[in-house]
Amino acid sequence: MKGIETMNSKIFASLAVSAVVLLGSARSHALCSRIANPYQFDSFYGALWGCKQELVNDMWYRFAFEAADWPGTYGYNDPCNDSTPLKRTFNAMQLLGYAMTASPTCSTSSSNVGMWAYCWAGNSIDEVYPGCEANEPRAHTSYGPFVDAYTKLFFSFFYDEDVIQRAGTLFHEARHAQGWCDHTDSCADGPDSCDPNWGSGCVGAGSSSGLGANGYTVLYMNWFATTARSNWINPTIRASAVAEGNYYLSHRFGTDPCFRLNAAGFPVTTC
Amino acid sequence: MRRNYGGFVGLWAVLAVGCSSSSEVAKSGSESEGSAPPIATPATQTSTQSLDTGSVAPKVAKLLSRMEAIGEGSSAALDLELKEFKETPGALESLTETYAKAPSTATAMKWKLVHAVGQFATPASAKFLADVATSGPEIVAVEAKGEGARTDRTLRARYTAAVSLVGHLVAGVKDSGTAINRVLQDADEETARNLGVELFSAGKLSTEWRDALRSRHIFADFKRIEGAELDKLRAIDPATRPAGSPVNSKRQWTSVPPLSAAE
Repeated sequence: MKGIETMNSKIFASLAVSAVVLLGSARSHALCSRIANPYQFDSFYGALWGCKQELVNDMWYRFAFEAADWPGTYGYNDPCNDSTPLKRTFNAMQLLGYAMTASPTCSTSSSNVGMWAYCWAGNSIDEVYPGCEANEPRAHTSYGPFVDAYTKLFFSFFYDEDVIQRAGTLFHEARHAQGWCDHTDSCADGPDSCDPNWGSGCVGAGSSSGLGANGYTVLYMNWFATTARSNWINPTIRASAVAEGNYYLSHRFGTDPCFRLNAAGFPVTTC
Repeated sequence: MRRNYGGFVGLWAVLAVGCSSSSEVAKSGSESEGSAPPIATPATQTSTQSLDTGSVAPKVAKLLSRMEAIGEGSSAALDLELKEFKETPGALESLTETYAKAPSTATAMKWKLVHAVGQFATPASAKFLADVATSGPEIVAVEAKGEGARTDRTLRARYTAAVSLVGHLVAGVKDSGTAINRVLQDADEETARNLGVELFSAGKLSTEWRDALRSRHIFADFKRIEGAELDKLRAIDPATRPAGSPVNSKRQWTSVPPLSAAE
């Protein structure tokens, strides 16, 4: 789980577990800010979508943001400031939506995930809110019956990931949310971060078949690197996307998927 | 060559000044529950535009910033910036020293510095890239589970260093072949594998280099995945939950606003 410390659906309906989940989702609002790392593409992607009110509105309602979750330094009153967690989340959502097309769709029929990733993620993630606790995953998603479904984004998501990584994380978390798709413990990165293999990457009761959340991240990077519109990508950002995809391929699968992305983003067999 | 040990401190100082004001503008206040945040507050972008150009450090910051630029004219602007930067005395050294002195937690910055060095094409840059590529994994103890668990903190930099050497080779940089030999032989397995992939993709994977990989028991019969095989790899069905599973009760959106107005 990119995160998913979930409470997943292994535990269909234990009231005790539900209580724990509710406690776990209690929202605290410690100060959440840092001198923003200027090397994470925010200012340029921010300028690209212009922080337009209609786009802010669309993200706000689609991903069920709530004002009370983003107070003070989280950014509700300063939503166009690239230093705030809120704006850094917005920038990633805009990349998710519009990097590959100016007219994204909600139909998932296209194999190019960039055509529908934004709408699908918005429909899959129940609500999104921030946390700033230390030593937490970059994000985690709670799902399943009798639990409070949410996706929580942490400090590392806002300040350690660049925009393309954050977009991949949102797409990844959406897979957990929509597919009840859990992780295993057996891969280089260890506990709760692994897909068993490429073709069958979900585990957990009631989970989807097919590609797991890590596979979703890799595919997003592959499609972004190879099909992003010219005004939404440059060589440095492509390099970041490819590096991210290759990190997942080498560290997040129990069985090596036997391919890596070359610098242009195309897959090449490696075993 | 001129040494610039003050570069790292200077670079951080410049960036801190450039960004602190924008983090301070976050205001507390009453929020209207449920409504989207109004954008009336003027955007306060982080900026490295107003930099003193009196030393190499600001030029490093400006170059790294320029490398992020997207859109019409950005590529030509970067080329110009790179050309000017390369002509600055001590330019490469300022990058490599900044890299050496940056804390290991500054992964984004270190990665970007390696990427910047990759834009040079000199024997000295080839050596630096080989040094980074062969520096080995920096495995960190992981307290967080899940996505927090990035155990290999330097893989991004090592990978980028290795791949950048292929560009040096294609450009005919002296000693780039030697540097590649070194990486294939001495780098960790994943970095060597990725270099092999890139050499193959560039049509530069010689028999000697294939053998170097094989001698380490690293697969070297690379093949680009295409056609039906690629379709199979990319097969994705985001609606594969078993029938009868409880469904997401959230409102399901059916359209997305086009971006034309914002572009």
